[in-house]
Amino acid sequence: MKHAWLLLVAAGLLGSGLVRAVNVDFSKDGADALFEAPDGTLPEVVGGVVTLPSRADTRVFPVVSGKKYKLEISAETEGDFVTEKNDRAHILTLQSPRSQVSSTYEVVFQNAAGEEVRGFGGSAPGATPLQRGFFLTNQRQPYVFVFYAPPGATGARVRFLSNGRSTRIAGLRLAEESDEGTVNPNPDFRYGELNYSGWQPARDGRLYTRPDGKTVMNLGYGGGSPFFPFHAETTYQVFARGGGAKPLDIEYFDKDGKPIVRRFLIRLSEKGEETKVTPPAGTVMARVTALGALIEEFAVRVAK
Amino acid sequence: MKPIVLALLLGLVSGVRAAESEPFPVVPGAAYRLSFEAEGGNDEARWTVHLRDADGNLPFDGVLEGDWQRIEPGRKTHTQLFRAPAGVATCRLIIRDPGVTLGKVTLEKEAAAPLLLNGDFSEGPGNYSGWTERYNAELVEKDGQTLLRVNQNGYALTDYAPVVGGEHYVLKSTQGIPGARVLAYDAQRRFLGIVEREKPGAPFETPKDAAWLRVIYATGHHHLPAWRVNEIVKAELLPEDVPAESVPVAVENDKDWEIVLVPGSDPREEFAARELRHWMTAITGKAPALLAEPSTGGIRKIFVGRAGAEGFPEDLKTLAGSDGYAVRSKGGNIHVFGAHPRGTYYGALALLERNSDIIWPRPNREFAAIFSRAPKLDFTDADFLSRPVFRDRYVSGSDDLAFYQWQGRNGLNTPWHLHKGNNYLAWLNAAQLGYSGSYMFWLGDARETDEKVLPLIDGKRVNNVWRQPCYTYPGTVDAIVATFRRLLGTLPGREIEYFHATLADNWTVCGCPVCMASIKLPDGKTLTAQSSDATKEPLFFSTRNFQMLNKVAEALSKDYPDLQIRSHAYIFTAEPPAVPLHPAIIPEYAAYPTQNLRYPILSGTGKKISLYDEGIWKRRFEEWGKAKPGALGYFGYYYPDGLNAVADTAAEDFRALAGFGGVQVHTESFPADDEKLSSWDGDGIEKWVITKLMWDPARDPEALRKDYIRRVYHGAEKEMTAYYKLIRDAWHQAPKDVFVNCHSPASELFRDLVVTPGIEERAKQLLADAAKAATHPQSQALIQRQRAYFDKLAGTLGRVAVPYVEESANEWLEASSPHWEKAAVVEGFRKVDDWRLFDKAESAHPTRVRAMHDRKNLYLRFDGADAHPAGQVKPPVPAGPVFPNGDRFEMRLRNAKNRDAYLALGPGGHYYSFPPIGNRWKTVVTGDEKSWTALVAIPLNLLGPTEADQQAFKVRLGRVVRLRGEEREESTPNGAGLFNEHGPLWLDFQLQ
Repeated sequence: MKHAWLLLVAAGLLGSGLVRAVNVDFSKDGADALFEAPDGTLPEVVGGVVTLPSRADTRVFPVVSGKKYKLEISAETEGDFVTEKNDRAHILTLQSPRSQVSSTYEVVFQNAAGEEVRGFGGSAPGATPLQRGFFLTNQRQPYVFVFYAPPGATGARVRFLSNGRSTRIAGLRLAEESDEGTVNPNPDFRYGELNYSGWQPARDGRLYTRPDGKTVMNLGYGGGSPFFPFHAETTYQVFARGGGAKPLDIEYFDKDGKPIVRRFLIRLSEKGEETKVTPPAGTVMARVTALGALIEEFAVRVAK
Repeated sequence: MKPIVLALLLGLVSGVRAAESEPFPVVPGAAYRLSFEAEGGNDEARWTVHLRDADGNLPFDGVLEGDWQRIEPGRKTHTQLFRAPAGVATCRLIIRDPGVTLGKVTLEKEAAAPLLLNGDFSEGPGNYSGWTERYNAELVEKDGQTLLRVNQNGYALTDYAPVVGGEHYVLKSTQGIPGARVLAYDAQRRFLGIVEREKPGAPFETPKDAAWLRVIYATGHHHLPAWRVNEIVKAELLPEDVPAESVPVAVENDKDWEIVLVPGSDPREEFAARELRHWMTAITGKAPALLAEPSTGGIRKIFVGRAGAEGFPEDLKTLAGSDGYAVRSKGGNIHVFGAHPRGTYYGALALLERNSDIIWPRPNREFAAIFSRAPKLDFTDADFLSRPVFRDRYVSGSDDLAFYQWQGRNGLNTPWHLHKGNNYLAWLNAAQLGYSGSYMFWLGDARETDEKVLPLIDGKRVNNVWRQPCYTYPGTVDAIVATFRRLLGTLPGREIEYFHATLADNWTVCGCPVCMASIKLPDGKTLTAQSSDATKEPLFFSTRNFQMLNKVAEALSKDYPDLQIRSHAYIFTAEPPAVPLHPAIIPEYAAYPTQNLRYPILSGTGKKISLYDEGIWKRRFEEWGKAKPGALGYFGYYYPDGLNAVADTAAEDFRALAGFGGVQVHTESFPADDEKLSSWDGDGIEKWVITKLMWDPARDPEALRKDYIRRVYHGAEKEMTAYYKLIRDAWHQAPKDVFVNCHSPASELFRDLVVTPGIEERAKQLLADAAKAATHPQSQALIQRQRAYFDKLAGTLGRVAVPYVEESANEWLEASSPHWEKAAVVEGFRKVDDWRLFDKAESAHPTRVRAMHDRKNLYLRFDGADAHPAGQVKPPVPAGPVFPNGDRFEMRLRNAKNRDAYLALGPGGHYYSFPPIGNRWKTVVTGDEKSWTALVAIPLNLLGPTEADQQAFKVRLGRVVRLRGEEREESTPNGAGLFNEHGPLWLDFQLQ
């Protein structure tokens, strides 16, 4: 239904703490259900899809800081620079600045005053907590990004940059993420090899989908996980499965993004390893890094 | 054979009435049973056997006076089995106690005596015949049987068994763990080496010049209680088809010198005497006699050992408390001694060094010693004394015996760690003995029984050797002290010279509330930590660390007032603590890792990083020097991997340490030296110079290098002097920002100190000239290794010299053109990780790339083996500018301005560039049933407009086989992914 979310807000049925879901389907909805056009020029819905202009922003959707969300965009892109025809398109995209060789999308946050705020983990020095993804298939498929709304964020929009690649959107969903069951986003790369959700491989690291269909992360030398909330005085259960000689290290950060300490967390093995962790005083978030690891799963849960 | 019964002869020896038998005739090599009746005497009554040669001289090996040879009260008959050593003719029994009444004495030749006498201990309790040399080992009765029990850190050796060199034997031995080791000796009973055996009980071949074997037993690692005791039940050495007679190698007797060593001297002094004898023989071809008492002839004597130093009390006083040495001439004779047995060994070697050109440059057996032969040794330089500046001189590295041999020969006394059991051979070669470990080792069983000794990290107690203990829990100190007490008693009668209890090599510390609480300092101030991150709070956690160690030292010092505890002052404990240290603690200061090895520590030229400023290592060194004057240790890192002149820096640092009254000097990580090329082949000279500086840091490194060059490079001194000067000048003249530490890759050193200064060709030529000029075979072999190592270093830069081939303009299109044979070759591709880890395994699909140019184009030829071309994956479109999404060759080109191009071409004639370069490059593809080939012409101006752009550029090469599934394989020359941006992974194409 058009403007479904607006009606829900108007009806006062969405207050803080309740799930604020966005569900736009261009087979039923108009472009204004999703996009914002200050100059009044909205992209057109044709045949149930919208062809993106060079740049397009969605409306601002309300978010609650500290909550975990799942963004899902049904999209496809034209041309030969796609994974079906060019298996180097993936790494060339990852290694280009801001993935600019491909058509991209990014979640942009703003605070109550309408000012842009950096993504979750953005306060950490040197951090580049990208909430950016890219479209790299001729075949329409869901592109997924799981993220945390950062401190101070009250709204989020999705910004599309097609970078010269003709890209079509069929729909978009945004809702609180409730299936992963973990504190950290994308714990087992279930969304496939094109969906990083903030995982940042280094050097030539990237996601790979194995012949058995499981997607794993070859992290590369110095790659890391997305930032995730991690609180002092709370004990967490950590599970990691994978391979490679190097362990996962964890770095703790305080509320100002200042690093508190970095240390060894866990080694990877084929059968999986577990450990419990209580972060040091002052910790509000963390991430893990490694000097080369092949990760099948990295899951953080609050210990019972 | 009938026993020979001889009457008692009473005689006087040294003013004491003694009983002495008449001399019996004996045959060298034969085994004998001596039996005698004796009664009376005091508890110290002993017997001795003297075997003299035909001239009446008493060889050292002819004196049998084992500690077990006591006249036992109540025992009427005593027996001793022994084997007559080489050169002896008579045997006499001597009893020095006048209270002993000697009765019948018989000497019976043992027909068919086994090689190992009394190998089954059938001589009974108390009779150690055949097992003279042992430590902390005793005969015991167990289950009705006599066996030899070696206790913790003990050892036992069989007596010498005669063997034939180059023949086969079998050792059948029943004992615990560890097993037996077979030691080989030459005819002079000089140690040759450990005999390698495939497995226990397997036949083995003796070294060609072996004439004697001994078997040694010891105990094993302490952490396994069962290995702390070794019980020997039986040892039997059996020949396998050995000829009955062997002709010993004849060595001329030295008529100029004899060596005198008093029986009962420390085994290390015996070792010194045998080594001296060996090297004198090697140099002159003549073997001096090794006697237990000076001969009466006119031969000049070299008295070895402290027992021969009675006439030099002032020297002994000067040397007291050290392992220094004195060599003195008196009455035409020479006395070599130390106050400590090691000093005697060092003195013997110094006598040789000063009077010949001998050098022990490296552990490698092929170059263990280099010297010139001389008809005689005059020993004109034989009046000197030397006391080392540093009491402890360590190089940690390999456990290999060859490494300890090299160290001992060059004045070091690096400890052997007793938790592995004693190491008799390392100890002979001047090793101290001691214990070393992190605090987790010293906690002992408490790690398992009391979790509060463990650090609290992120909410849990972590039991891991790479962590520090809980510094403040009282049980931590108690546990460490308990382990000390236990280990202090494990070397009865001998000195444990080294106790090392130190932090684990890790920054993680205990974050428990007590450890994190503020520290009240002696001056009333308070030290507070903001976090449990030791990188941010080094002073706080260094203070915690040393407060704990102070308590350990205090608890032990009451009972062990001379005990010294070494501990690293490293990572966070490199910061001197805010509390004074107990006098027993010797901190080993480590300026790591940002100190630039090109400059001395006190120059304040550390690398600035977030944790450290430039002057941190200088400041800390000075503060340690003030905090522990006369009691400072050191932990050095003088092992940059490549060509260097690091001994210059070591000299300055060691002098500074000496200025602070330092007692211990060290460097770590000299690697094993074997047939593989290693840093020994690059900077072996520096390593040798460093050993000399460890004895006396005031020595001039350049003078030492000159000495090394003279002794090592016979005939090539001029070339090697020029070569090392090139390296040394580059080391000192490189810009200040050229940073070198122990982790610097060899490729970087070579680039910064050889290639960039432009000395590569000259250095290479000098080595080539030196190889031609060298006259000594060992010098030649050493130089060839150095050349190979130099080339190996050059190869690490990924440089590819791409030849200019004029014909390539027209010939490149033909894969069969012979001009391709002139091209540079890159091959040996390795697998790249994807969702699988390959650890850079060799590619299953060999690829070879050739490169040449004609100053207009770069021509590349890719050849890829493919056993199943029908399986190749190609785009389903005609050949053309389409990404070859499947099998392909790939390359990346990067010019001097870091502009990148990615190019790919496939077997179907598909080609692709990113960013697109259109038709500016040309490709040709061919294939057959075994492989496919792609030929490429790339205009050089693609790389940039200027000649500089086009002369040298970076290249990555790769290949992909198939597309998906397990059969997909990606490979590159070094196994790193094509898109791995790490700089050193790029090939450096240099157009010739």
